[in-house]
Amino acid sequence: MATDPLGIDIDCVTDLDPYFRLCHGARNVGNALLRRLNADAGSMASIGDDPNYGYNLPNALMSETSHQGELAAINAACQAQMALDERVQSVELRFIATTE
Amino acid sequence: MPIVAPMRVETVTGVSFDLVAGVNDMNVNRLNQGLPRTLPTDARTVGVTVTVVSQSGADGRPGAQGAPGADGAGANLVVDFDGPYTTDLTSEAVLDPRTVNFVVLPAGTLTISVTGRGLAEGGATGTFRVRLGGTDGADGTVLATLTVTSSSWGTFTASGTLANPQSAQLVKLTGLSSTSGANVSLEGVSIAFSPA
Repeated sequence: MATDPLGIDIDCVTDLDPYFRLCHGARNVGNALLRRLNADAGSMASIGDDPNYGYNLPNALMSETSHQGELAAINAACQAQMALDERVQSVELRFIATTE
Repeated sequence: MPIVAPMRVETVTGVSFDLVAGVNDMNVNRLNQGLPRTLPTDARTVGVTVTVVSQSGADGRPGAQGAPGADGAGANLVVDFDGPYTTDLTSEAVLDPRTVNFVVLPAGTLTISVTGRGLAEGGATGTFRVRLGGTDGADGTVLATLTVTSSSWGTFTASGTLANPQSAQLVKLTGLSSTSGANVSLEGVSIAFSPA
């Protein structure tokens, strides 16, 4: 199997690929970032893993208001969480409120 | 108000991509699990071990009165023959017959203990016996024998065992001298019967 500097893993975000297909490159990084943004903060500490892993973006947005200050804080938290992945150089993230 | 959050990620390898989550990829896990995280653990939570702690409860009510215990063993049965007794005959003679009721002692084997002060004159040897049952003569079962050889008053003891006859029996003290005409004497005699 050819190596990939961005890693090779089972294609998975919230559930395993039923055929356990693998992914690599940008998709692998994207899956990893989405897993981070779906995990509760500190959820890995209970199994002795990274205590800084996780920021539950859906939960954060579920309780958000349109207050710009709160969205800014969520934005910062998301970017900080994604930056913890050593494969990430930078992240651009914006929250845009829509009318529908 | 719906929120759109476009994300663009640049990796350390220089690869850049727009991070687009699939419809089902951004879950609200709290709603999916259906249980708030701060509830204390209970038996409904999968994979949790519930430990039942055993504790001592209050004392229960007293039970019913028990059956009475067996009768205790009787005290020693002491028969004082006192004395003094003296004989110079070489044939055994009854010195003092008594009747002893052995029913006050428990059934089974008894121990007899004989003590007294004795004196044998002229170099004779006095033989004093405690006999059980028989007639008025020097007969019956020998329970214990005191042998007196001292030419001055001395303390002598003897012991033996017997099966409790559980009835009133003759208990006789007999004596004889080894030398005809030489006095042998016994005084302060105490005979005790006790459970073995």
